[in-house]
Amino acid sequence: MIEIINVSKKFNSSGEGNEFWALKDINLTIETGEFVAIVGRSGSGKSTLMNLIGTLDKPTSGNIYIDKEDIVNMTNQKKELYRNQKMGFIFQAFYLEPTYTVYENVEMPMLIKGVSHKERRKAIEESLSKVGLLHKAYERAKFLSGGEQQRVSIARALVNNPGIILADEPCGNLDSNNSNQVMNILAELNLEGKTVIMITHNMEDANKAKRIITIYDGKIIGDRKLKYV
Amino acid sequence: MFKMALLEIRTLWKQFVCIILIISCVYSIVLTMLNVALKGTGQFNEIIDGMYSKGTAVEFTNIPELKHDLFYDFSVDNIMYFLRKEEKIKENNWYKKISDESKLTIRTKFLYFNTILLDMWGRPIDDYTFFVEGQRWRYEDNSKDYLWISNSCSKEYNINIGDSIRYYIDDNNYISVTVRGIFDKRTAENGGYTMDAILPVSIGERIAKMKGISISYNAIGTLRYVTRYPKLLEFCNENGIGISGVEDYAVGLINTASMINTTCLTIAFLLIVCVVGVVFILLSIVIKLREKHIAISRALGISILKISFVYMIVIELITTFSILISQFISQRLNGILEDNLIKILDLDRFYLESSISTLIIVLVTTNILFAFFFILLTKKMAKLNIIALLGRG
Repeated sequence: MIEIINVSKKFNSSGEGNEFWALKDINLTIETGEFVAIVGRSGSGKSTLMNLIGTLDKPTSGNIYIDKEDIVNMTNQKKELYRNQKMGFIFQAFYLEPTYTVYENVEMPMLIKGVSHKERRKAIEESLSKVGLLHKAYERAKFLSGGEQQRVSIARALVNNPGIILADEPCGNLDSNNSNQVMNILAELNLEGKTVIMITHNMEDANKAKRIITIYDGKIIGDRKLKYV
Repeated sequence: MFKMALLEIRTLWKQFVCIILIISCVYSIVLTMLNVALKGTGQFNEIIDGMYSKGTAVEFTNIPELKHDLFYDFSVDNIMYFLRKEEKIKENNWYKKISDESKLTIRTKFLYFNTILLDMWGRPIDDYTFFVEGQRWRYEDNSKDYLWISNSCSKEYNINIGDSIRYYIDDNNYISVTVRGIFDKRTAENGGYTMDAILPVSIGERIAKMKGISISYNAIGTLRYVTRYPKLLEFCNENGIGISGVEDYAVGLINTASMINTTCLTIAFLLIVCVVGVVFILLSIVIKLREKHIAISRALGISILKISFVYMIVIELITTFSILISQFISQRLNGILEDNLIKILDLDRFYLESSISTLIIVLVTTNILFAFFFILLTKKMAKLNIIALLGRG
């Protein structure tokens, strides 16, 4: 369970007097196994919220707990461990290493974790099978289509078997066909019990989640649960 | 981490090839210089030692009337006698040994008979000494008794080269020796000594025995004396008197060797520092190129220390590989340098050999410098703003 309590985030764009509140006193609880879509206009604070949940950033005030553990005041070392083992990141721009093969890209989190070669191989193959790209394991990432690249990115997020998947506009750079594929994979992962938090501005994608949280000017202005299809 | 390092090398192979080329080229010069400094100096010393102490160094002691320590040294290539004046002064119940070497104002010389100087016969060797005539020495001459006499002595007693003469130690004892050379000299302007004859140590040893003088064999080698007392090299006869010779070739070689040694070590160290600096700059550029990859790796959970180590492994691998290439190039350069040093320094032989110890010195020095720079690099990486970098997607 993720609990966000009174979280605010302030940015100083250039010196004093240019303060900008990206998030204002956010309170939110996300249960384990939920599929949450955070929607909002550009600059509304949804990415900031995801960065805070993903321990990439620190709130100006407030607390965030994941499974009762305070992730705001964690040591950097613990945060790194958290990101590596309990969270999977999916980015709009995929952020694959173009010169690496699909296999090597997916292998990255496991190399960071320090898993043995044999275990790595097994987990990578499983992960690639889930996204339907096992046959492309030894192709260079740069030769893949956008949809395939995003699926590799999902495989990479899954490979350490994290409980939480954080997807920042996962379909932002994809056509509708590839978007559907990616959304289906995320839905399947959610069915497997993973908590999926997805940021999107596309309502069609958001409607595939179980819950939609709307943010506007750093505040939650809507939170509704959907009937899951 | 090792695999990540290998993946980085593969990704940035073009940049790393440039770094390898730079390191290899400069380090081949560094290794060659270090070979000259570390291995070459050893050889210079060997050569110099060979000049001074190939033969037996004999020390005549307890000659009360002379108050001199007389040193002889002889080898196939050279002969030298030198003198150190010492006095024992009684103070209370103790004897204080005083050396008056610093008080010597005579021009100090060292006669160096070798194949080079043999060619100088008939020509003035310095302001005071001439080789008038002589026979070339051969290797087997080492064990034979022979004598060099002064021109005045030759004229006075009508002694010529090849004559066998009796060299009297005292009234009853003598040694038969063959005159092998004649030299001429004037008295030094500053009131130095005159010399009648030069005896090789083989004779000197026998003289000592006949005179009942105790002899101690000085096995230290005379280089120590030459470097410590370069101005105390003198010729003397068995009475401990006499001075002559030519400019000390060996001392010149010591200075040259020392200069080469210092220059090579300084340049080698400076080049290492420069290369490490250049590589550090290149690596900073590489990290700039890879900052997005570093950011995503950080998001995936890698620590700053770990990612620094990845790049450290990368640079260590590249450096090691480059230095091995340098070693190969350096071996070729050694060959070229050997020939030139033999010509320039007028040596009979000189060889430069690459060694593992030099390689280890270079590797360790470089790696220590890199380790220092990596602290800076780690700080640089820690400053990378992951969110900003990932936001640029």
